[in-house]
Amino acid sequence: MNNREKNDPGKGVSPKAIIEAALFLAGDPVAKDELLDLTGLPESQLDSVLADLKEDLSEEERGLKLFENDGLYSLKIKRELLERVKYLAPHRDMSKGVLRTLSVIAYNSPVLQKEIVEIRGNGAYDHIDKLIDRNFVKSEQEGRTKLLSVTGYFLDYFELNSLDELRKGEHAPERLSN
Amino acid sequence: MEDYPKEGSEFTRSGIPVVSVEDLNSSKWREILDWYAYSGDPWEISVVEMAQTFQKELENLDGKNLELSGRMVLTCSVILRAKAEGLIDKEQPEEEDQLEEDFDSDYWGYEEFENEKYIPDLEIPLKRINKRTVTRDELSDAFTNAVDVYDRREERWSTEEEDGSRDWGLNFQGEENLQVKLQRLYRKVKEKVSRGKEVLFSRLLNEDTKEEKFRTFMELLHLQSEGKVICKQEEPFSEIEVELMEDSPQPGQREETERQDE
Repeated sequence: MNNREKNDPGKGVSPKAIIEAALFLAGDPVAKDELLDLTGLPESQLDSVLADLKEDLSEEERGLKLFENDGLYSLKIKRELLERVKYLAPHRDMSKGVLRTLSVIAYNSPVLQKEIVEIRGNGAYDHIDKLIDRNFVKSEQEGRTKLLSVTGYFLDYFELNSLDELRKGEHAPERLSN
Repeated sequence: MEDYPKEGSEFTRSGIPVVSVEDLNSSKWREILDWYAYSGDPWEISVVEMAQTFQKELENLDGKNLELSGRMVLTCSVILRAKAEGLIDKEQPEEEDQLEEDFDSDYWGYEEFENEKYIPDLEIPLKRINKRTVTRDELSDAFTNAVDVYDRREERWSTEEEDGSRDWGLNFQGEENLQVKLQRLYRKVKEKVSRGKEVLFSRLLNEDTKEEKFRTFMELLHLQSEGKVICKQEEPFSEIEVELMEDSPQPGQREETERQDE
């Protein structure tokens, strides 16, 4: 029995409503396969419904946006609203340690892994693995160490056009490491 | 009030007399109210219907009789109160048997209670996992914090190196002689190994602390460099296995070896 059969909402329920409900409830990104299973739609129709939902949410009076990353879909608060409402959800989607490691990589990207470990300590290995798993960071072999850099997903997540926007913009920390 | 309801009274579909405006205007309005509350069955009276009747009457009076309208409100509230008290009585029967009887049939009205262990289908509201996106300011703050932590650590290490107080785990000064510690560990390895082919690193620890693990590992490396043991690790981060070197002294030769070491 698949999820659609288990949770069959009955006839007349809009696939867009099902997707919206699923993404709202899940919090974590939901795989496209899961959405196919939930709605019972063929992939082409699901793509069309997702595009429709994305367009709906892009309206100025809507507070959420549809976010896609590598076949995973989620609903996020629009960046311009986040500062205003963030106190209502004090838990971030990554731990303090992982966020610090990500920040050091981001402000120095591309950067050697050994330099990150020197700054952040041995726990950075675990943080880097998590960041690579979540597609925030990519790594390339560079001699005996790895060269780390942020991904396009990182830019999408923080709604940045480039890293320069982060380093030189209003959100740049007072002191950047060398 | 024995003479209530009087002849010619209007009755509801369930046979309860309708409270008329005339009743409430009479000098016996309190007794009538008592009859509703205690003699009549409050469950059979629809407060909604009664209120609607009163409302129509009030519209005709055009708000000129405040005392009557107050009595109307009081009548409705008394009957509502009587209903509520009836509910409390049903929820707290004195006899346990009475409770079971009520629970099985009359109170809930579910036939399922009579024949099977019926569990009401309660829906618990789903709670959303409310983790939110990180803001750019938080990313920036995280960077500042990371650099601060790094700076503080560097400063601390620098100070400790300057005054020689930094504990690298290799500073055995003021402690027992290193050779004594190595011999003690070597004896322990031989005792454990004598019961099997190798001994797990964790079985050599006296306590489960980082410091103890580090010191024991350092001592094992000394023993390995002296050709007394071999440390093996099948996979990164897996448990270290410690074996005695083939030409290392067997347990029976222990004392002689130790004397030579000394």
